[in-house]
Amino acid sequence: MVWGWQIAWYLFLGGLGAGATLTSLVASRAGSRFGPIERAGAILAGPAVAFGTALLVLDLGMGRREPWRLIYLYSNWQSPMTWGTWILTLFIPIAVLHALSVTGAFAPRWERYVARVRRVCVRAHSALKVAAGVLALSTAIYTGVLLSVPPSFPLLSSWLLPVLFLVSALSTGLSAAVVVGHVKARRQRVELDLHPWSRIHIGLVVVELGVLLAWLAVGSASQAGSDSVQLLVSGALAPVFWVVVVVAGLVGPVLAFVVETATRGQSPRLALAGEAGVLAGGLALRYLVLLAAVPVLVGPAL
Amino acid sequence: MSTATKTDVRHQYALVVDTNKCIGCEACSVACRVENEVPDGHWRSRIVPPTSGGSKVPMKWSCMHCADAPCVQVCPTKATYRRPDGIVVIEAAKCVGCKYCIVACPYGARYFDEKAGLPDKCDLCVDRLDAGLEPACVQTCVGRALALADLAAPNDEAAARIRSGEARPLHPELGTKPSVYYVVGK
Repeated sequence: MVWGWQIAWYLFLGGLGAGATLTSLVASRAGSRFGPIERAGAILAGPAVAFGTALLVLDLGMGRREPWRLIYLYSNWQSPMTWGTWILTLFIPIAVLHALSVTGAFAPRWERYVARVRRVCVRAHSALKVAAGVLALSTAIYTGVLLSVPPSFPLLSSWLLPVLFLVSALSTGLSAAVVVGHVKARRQRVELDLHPWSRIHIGLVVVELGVLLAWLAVGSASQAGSDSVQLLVSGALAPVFWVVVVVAGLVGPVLAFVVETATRGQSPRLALAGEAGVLAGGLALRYLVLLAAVPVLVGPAL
Repeated sequence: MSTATKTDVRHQYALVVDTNKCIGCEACSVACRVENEVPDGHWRSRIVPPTSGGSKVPMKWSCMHCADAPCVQVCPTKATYRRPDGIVVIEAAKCVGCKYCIVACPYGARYFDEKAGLPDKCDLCVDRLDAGLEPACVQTCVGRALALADLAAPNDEAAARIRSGEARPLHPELGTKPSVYYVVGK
């Protein structure tokens, strides 16, 4: 696989930003007591996706040296990358405008520059929510579609990969929004009730475990796919897969969220540890998907 | 490449590899490297030794110039496209070097030239074709195992071997409709 760490981080941050936006939208429906989470999710999204996209551009060959060539990226409607280029181009500014519409003056020094834009955003709040939601979903799904369309890597050429990336995006975005929301609320001496989020997160992580298993099972059908699965579960990538993705990223967080929910929010530290695990697991998953990609024709051989 | 050939549908190129005549001498690989100035560590065309995979004979391996090429589908800039004469080429001036084509090629026929910031692969020596010459590998082949076929030419011998089914594509199950055909066994 010719794509390396830049792409892994991009896939992770794109998903995280998308999930953070969707978390923000859920929080906004759940009432004002989740204001810190709504704001944290909205603020995180734009910079996360923009940073990921910057990594993507840095990974380019001629496109980095001659950036005006990037305009060609919008041209092939058959290519998932063209779809992604359009989605990211729209999502990043919409995410920033959405953040402006839900946040107060968080940086007073800049406020006089953004005040007018913010007023427009606040007025267009409902429309921005719809646009941000649609684009966030598109981003989360697209990162998986990008890898699943080519026939060259059987483990990746599966409709379950976009599903896995979508669920993982929701999960990592939720974690990021909860961690940042918690820290910000703490600073304002507000104790956030995390256990409703832990409860949602239990569901998400259980679904992700199921999709992960289904994806591996379906992937095993072909020779190269089964070689990929071997690499993950018992080969060179197994330590990272089991320790970071499965234990730290899925099983551990579920246990932490269950305890957190059972104690009705008395163990926020445990919940936060779970969120950190989800983030580490989400990043490791993106790396491993790229690293475990065994080509359909093993090497150049017949 | 000349624009005359770009719109030229009088040709429909394919490559026929007669493995019965191939001695695995790599002369084609060397001619290709020299002709196309392929950087060290990469190849446009190579001989896959008979011991690898299920192959019992040496196989020349390069871009398959697929009619349904995944690289053409995924290229976001349309820098990679298939000419009307069947050759899949890269228009360097349009390419951003995203490497999606390399990811997408199931035959592993593309490489990334870090220095140029661009992907590269076999283009059947289009410049030579446009000048009325054969591809470097075909011209060099010691045992005459390689032949450029023109499926649009009625009396083309190599094309006849494709039409008769004597020469067959590799891994047609991938569904990309390759244009490199192999004669295996007699």
